[in-house]
Amino acid sequence: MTASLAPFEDASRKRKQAIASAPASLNGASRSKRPRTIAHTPSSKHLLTVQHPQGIKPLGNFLFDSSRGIRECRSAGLGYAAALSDELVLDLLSRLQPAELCRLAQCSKALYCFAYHEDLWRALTVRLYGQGGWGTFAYNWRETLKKKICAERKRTFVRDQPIQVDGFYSDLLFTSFRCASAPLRELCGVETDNIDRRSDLTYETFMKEYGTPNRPVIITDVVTKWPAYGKWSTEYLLEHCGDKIFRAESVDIPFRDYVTYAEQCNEEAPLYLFDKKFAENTTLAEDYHVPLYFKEDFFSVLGDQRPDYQWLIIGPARSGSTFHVDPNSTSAWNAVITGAKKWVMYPPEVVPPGVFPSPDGSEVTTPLSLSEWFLNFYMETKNSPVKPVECVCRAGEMVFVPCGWWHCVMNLEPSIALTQNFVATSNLPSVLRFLKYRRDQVSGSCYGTELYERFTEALNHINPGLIYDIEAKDDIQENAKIVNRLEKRESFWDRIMKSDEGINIGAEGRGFSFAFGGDD
Amino acid sequence: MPVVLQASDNQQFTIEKAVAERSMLLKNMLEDVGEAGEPIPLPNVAGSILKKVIEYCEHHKEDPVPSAEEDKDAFESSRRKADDIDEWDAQFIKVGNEELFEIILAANYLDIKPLLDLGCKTVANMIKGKTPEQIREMFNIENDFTPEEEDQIRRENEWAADA
Repeated sequence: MTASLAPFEDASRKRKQAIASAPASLNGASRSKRPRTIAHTPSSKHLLTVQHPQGIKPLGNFLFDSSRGIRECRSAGLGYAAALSDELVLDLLSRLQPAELCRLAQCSKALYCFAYHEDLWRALTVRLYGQGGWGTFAYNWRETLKKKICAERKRTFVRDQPIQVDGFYSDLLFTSFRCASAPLRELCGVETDNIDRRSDLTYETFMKEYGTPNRPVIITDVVTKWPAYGKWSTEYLLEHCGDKIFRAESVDIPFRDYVTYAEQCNEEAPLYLFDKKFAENTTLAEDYHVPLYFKEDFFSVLGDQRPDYQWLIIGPARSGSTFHVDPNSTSAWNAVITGAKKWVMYPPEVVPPGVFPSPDGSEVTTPLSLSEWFLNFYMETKNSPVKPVECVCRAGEMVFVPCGWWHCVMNLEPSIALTQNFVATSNLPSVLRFLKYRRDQVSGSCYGTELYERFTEALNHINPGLIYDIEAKDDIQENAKIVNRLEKRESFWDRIMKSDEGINIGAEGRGFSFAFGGDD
Repeated sequence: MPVVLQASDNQQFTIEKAVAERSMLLKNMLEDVGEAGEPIPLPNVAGSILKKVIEYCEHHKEDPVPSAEEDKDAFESSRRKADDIDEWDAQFIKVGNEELFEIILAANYLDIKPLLDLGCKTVANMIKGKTPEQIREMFNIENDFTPEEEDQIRRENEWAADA
């Protein structure tokens, strides 16, 4: 028995490898993915009872099953490839064309389980038909591609009927299924809602309580006054821009086809429509206006050469964005027109559990999907010294996302939302610092690493002296802080532990570097 | 300074540092611990396979090392073209089927992406145009479907067969 367990043990130790097509990174930093992990926290126990349609089980079931005389089928079913980890088997299979993948599936039950894995079919479909359209999405990616190819080659379409496989164990494949099927309300802790909700705010009050201190808030009386609210719906958008092409991660897709996909798909991390050209390509931008609180926007000095800043966001339940910090140290607002989104936010000084940025911040390693983060790391937020700001932002509400804050967002229901990123007085110093000292991380700009020069040029033209003043003040403050810290030799951890209230979160919104997040 | 590698069967190989550095695992290890001169144990790789891997790294020791970003792009585009295997590589990878998977495993463990790529491409090429029965024989796979299941899976997958 020990001998037959060996390949599994080997499999679980493998280095990281991304298999699924990674969601488009929002902050320009490249992302790498961590290997699958299965958490056995009490909270996730009830999520373990779901049955995989083909009978694939998590690795933990192997010993129990073998004591009942069930023979594992991976070793014999993979032959010489049995020593390869599950990740490596999928990596190998991801290089195959549909014809070869279909032939492999017929060789053994283990290969059937691997070769039917949806990530492979999603990648194939997007690769073969991503730009030309795969037509009507039907049930899942494999069936969709099958339908498309059958139609092209005039072949008979036979629907898949899952066969039951006994004795196949894979954390990798099972977790993917579990993340696609775990009930969202339980998974995402929707009852925790600790954000301020405000209405009737004057500009001064907003700036004093949220803008300047760089604190998140939900504003409840802006979106409800927009023409978009109550007017926009899937049906309305279908009618007005059904044939328009929108961007969903790496895929350009007619809105009509995206809607069919979003209604039918049932996967771990659905393709997320995140389109930055809607204002040019449609008249939708007439249906909303930027509220007073967010009107100030220094990037507007660059005119239409400014970095990308406005997005129409549409996605089914379970779609969303994994943890990131918004690009170029901008702040943002995010308005929900229909649906509901769960937000988890951490202040700039605190890296969320399960998230591992590289030392220079150019890369972030996170779990494979948002669902997997909630499954494996959400409970950790309950025990950490700094509690995240959490909320469910519902239709008609708008979240203020202060610059430098880490956040992830999960759609609990099919949602239509708008977001814009901006540079206000409060985050101008940190934007300037980002553009100047993190040039290779600047994203979404036609000027690339030269954005700092172009931006300061344009700004000087309009407001001579502004940048000089900010940078002079900034240098003095930063130098004073560094000296102060060196003298005190006090770590971030010491500061949390000493403080009765935890940290004064996000006091200055200085990006996500520890060195600039001080409250002292 | 040369580097000494020790395979799972205690066979030792003394190689140039430039050759060892084709393996990202060894490269990082050498950077972290410096060159101690002690043999580096590789308990996951048998001597016969390690010999083969070293032969590959010797031949490719002058290849430029792409940066992380370029590497990703090059890897993505190269994996799509299964036919562009150069002549030396094609000769090199003509090995027994069992050994082929051992090389893939070692390339993955030692983190030598071009070799992993070569191994996987070779497997992909071998599968092309073969029947399931031929594939089973090639890779020592046991058919564990019932006749009914086999028939059903065959019907579900006929659509993709090459014209």
